[in-house]
Amino acid sequence: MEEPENPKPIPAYYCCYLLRSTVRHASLYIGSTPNPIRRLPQHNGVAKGGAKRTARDKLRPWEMTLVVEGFTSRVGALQFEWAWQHPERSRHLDCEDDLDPKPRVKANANAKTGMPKPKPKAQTRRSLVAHLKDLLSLLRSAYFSSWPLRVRFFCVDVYRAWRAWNDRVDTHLPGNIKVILDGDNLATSPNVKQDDELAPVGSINNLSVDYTRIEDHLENSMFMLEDPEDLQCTVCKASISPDQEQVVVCPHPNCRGTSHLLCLSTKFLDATNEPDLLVPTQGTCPSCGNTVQWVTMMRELSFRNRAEKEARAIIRKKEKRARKESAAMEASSGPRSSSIEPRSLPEEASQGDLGPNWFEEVDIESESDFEGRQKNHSSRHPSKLEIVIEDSDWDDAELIE
Amino acid sequence: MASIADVIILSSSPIPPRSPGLARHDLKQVSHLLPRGETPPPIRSATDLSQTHTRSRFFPTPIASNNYPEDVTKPKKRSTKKDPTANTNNKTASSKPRRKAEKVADAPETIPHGDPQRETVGTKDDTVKPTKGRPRKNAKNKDSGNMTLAGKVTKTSGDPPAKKPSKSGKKTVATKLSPLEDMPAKVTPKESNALGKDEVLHLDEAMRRRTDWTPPRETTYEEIATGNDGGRQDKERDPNLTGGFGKRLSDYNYSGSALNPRDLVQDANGGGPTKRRRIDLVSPEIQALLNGRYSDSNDQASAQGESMASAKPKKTTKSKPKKFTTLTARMTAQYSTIDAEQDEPVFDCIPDIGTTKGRRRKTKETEKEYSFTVLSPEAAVEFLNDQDLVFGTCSQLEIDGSPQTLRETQQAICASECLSYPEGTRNKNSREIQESSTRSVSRLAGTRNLWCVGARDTEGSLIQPEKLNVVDLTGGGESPAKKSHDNVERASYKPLQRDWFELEFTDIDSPPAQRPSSPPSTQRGLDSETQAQALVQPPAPIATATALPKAKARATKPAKPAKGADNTPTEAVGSQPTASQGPSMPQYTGFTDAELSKQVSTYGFKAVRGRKKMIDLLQQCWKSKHGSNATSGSQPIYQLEQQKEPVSKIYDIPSPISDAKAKATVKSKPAISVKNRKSLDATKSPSVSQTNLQTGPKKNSRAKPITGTSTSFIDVEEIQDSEEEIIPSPSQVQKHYTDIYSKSKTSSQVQHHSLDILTKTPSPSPTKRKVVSSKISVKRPSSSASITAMRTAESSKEISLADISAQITQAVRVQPRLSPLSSSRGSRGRPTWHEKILMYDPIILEDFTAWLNIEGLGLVGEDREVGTASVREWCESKGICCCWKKNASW
Repeated sequence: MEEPENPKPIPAYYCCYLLRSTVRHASLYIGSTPNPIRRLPQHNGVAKGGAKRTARDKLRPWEMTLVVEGFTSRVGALQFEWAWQHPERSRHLDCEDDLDPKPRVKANANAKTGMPKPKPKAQTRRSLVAHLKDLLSLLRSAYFSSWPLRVRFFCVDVYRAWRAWNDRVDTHLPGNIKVILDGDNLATSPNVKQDDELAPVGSINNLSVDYTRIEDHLENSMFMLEDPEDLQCTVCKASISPDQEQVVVCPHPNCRGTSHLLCLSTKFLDATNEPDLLVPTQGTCPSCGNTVQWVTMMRELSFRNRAEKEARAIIRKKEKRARKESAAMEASSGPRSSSIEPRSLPEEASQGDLGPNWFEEVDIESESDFEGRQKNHSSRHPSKLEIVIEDSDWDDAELIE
Repeated sequence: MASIADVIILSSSPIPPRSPGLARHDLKQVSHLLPRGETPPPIRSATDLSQTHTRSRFFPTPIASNNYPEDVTKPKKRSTKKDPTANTNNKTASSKPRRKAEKVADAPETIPHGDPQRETVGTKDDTVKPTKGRPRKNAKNKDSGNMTLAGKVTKTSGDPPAKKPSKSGKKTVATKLSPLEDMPAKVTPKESNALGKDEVLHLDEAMRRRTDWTPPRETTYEEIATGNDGGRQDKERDPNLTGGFGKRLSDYNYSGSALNPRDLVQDANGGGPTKRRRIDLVSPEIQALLNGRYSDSNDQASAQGESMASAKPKKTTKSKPKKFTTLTARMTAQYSTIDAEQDEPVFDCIPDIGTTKGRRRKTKETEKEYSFTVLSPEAAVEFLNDQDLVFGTCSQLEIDGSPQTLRETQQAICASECLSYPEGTRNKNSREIQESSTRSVSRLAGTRNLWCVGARDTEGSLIQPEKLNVVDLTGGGESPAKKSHDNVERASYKPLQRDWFELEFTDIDSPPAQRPSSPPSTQRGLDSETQAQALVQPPAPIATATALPKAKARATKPAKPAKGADNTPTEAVGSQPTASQGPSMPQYTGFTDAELSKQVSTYGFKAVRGRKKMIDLLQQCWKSKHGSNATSGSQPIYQLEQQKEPVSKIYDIPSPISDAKAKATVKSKPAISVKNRKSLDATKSPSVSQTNLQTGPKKNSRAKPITGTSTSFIDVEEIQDSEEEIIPSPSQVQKHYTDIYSKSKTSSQVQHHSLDILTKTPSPSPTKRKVVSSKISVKRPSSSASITAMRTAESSKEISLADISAQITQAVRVQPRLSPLSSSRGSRGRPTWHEKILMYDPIILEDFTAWLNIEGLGLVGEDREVGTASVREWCESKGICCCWKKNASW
């Protein structure tokens, strides 16, 4: 009800990553960032702001062996990161492995003491396999399993270990979580297509971490919704008023399907035969008949509704670039090289308008190492901490470290 | 004890009374066992002790002082030059000691010889420079040190016989036995060094100090004796070793004593100028006492040995009493009962030793006292039990005066309580305790607690308004007629009240006229005043019931009713207004947090955070329990009715109860046995009657439909005010009670119940009502009754996820989309929860929970409420990203 004035749009990109020292493979680090392209150099000391744990020269350079991407909110990414970092304390893992009673007991104990669970800190360094195991458990947990996540492996050996573990456990990821082989796993460097987020990109630097991926979609929707008179919901056939309603636009380039958020979601949900489901993962566009990912539409919707200026800036950039491209007639490799440019630009533009609040700040804070962030947040929320003593991992997170 | 003894030894003299014992042991052991190993250690230990202490405390030992002058005056340069001289000195010194030793050797059998010898030696040392040289040598070189050491040994140990023969041998042996010798040698250099650092010290001062600290004669004698003993036996085995240690001893002790003839004299006089030494000396003798062994302090006994000591215990003990002057001595003496007994005769004998008689007596007395105070556990417990514990500030206690008055007041209070709270012995007890503990202040608290207790019947369940209603139906009709009786009533119980106060304050010398006002003043300000009134009231009704005629009341009252009776008319008039306000709401603001929480718990609520909240809740509860208008003075009608009620009620019953009580005098238990339900109600407890009063309007509502509707309206209004808060509104609480009650007893409640429902349906917040009315108006009435009931239990209940999750899901789905045409900015600005979830917004648990409880669950007819924890479980099970508010900014 008391929604913050400016709710943040779904981030263009947010991932948790497993960092590994190329020098000593036993050294691992889990972090999260909305921009791994910038984050990795930080870890390697090329840029400022690396995590303390990754600061030892002996261990540098680091490599991102895998990333879990597709988080729809920074909070979610941080929760996942924390759970992955603290598997022994995460409720999601316990729920996963054990039956229900145990976590409940723990929760009670936690509520009583109001302190972190009695479990020891257990800072024993975990092996790669252990991390992978935790990752699998997390991805299969009730909480995260329905999230539109993707796991992207950049290192062959890590993927091998992952596979080995999967075989051993004889379990599989939920269907909505995709595994992408990337980097070393590919014989040839892939031809990067921006709009397909499932496609391998070859290296971290080729990841698309900004909203440029949705710029076409955005352009399309904004163009359509600017003149909504003749538009109507594809589901309920009522006229739509984009200013007052949440209107979803089909991401397909040629589709002009618009619909109310609730209408379309209801339609999608009805199709799933899962009455308890509240968020569809995908559905068939009633207009064009193509299968559309729900998160894609939501990303566009939230960005359009909550960051209008940035959206317009992106559109302008795109138009400018298009003009340039058409003028210069660059080679086919253009999109790839030029993609770097738009990546940085929209962020800069957005920074001034939205302030550090929503997605630029993310870079600074969340990318800093875990300790730093914890400190930052704990100092920020001390007063609230007292009020809410309910059992929660997040309380723990505040208190830990 | 041992430590003390040690200390004494150290401070006073190196070889105190204790040494002889050691020596003896040593002798025995030595004789049986190895000569060397055995003998040295004990002596050594003694010497070590002396050494360390002397070193630390008394640098300016005579030796040192002797050394230093030269060192100081002639620094290191001279040392080379001096060596020869020193050597010569040493030689001379060594030679002298030998001679002395020879002399001593002759003497050993004779006891006193030790002193003179030493004295002579000391004098020689002092006067003659060669002595100065000795220690120096020690410090400087082992060579000379050995020599000197040997010589010294002979002197100090006072083993003339032993040394004589072995003199030459000693020297040789000493040189040979470098390791053994090294010990002292090493030690001595250190000392010298230390001394050298302390060069600043002036010799004269050092000398003086030294004299101050030299041991008394006794010890010196002892030394000699020990020396003799040890020496004899040592001779045979290891003259060198003993000699070496003895030498050391002599360095610190003997020479000193020799140096200070004054000291000896002083000791002999009995009172030395220095207090310190004496104090120190005390302890060794105590130890001796405790050990029951010899006290070698006496001059004569020293040489004679065990037999002598055992033979003359009295003499030995004589010296002890003197030393009990220290606290530790006294204290420790208590625990050695046998010794203490022994001591007493000793005290009588003591006068010789010269402490003042007064002192002795004092010590005696004190000892006796101490022995007296040490009680056996049982006795102590008894003693404690006999004691009256009175808590309070100093000022309070002072004001309250003698324990006698305190006791009386307490008795009076108890008596009055017996009257007022006949049935509840428990109440009485608790009250007594509180009373006794914290006097007037606590009494108020006690009454307040009693209120709460009284609000429940004997089974512990809340007393229901219905019961009261039964009474009221009869009483209500009569009430108008009974108005006139009010005054009579007041008048009748006023004297009682008055007596009560008087009992409490009679002993305080305050004018009687001020008394009524004084109790509040002694308590805490305004709050206390109202409380005092509340206090006054509980006893009143029953008192009136028991003793309508004044005479009876007086008869029952334990203490001084006569006084009060005279003043009653005026007082009654004066206090009428306050009393007429009826049971005023306790001033919760004046409560401590603990009290508040307790109160909250008594109302059956879980602990609430925040003092303000607690107070609000309590006030609401109280209002709901006692009727919403109880506190509000703005509604005179109800007050009047309240006043009538008790009167009428009591008035109806007077004869049976009063009879019963007249028979039972104080205890009204028999009254309960009376089968009349009215009497039951009446005797229940004052607080019950209070609640009756408070709930009066309600009763009226049933009896008189007109007033009833009016009150219900009032209730409704309150509901609307308080609906926004999570705290259940008074009406809800009331409903809760009534519901519970209706389950147990459904007599003629149907009408009331239905009425209640009708009035309560509007309770939910207006916004909610709109929604509800539009959609699910049908469900409303059925659920409304239970909703209120359930809400009270909300937070405490752990609602299982399985039960509620479906409802939550349903609620999220059902939430109506705000139509674009609605007045609000549209759904884009305020998305529904489902929209938020669909858009992957992190759900803020607090907000979501609040919505669910306020609105969402109501949409699906769910009566229960959910906590954030269960909501979180729901979110996580659905894979909905959720977080706490504080993390929402991430």
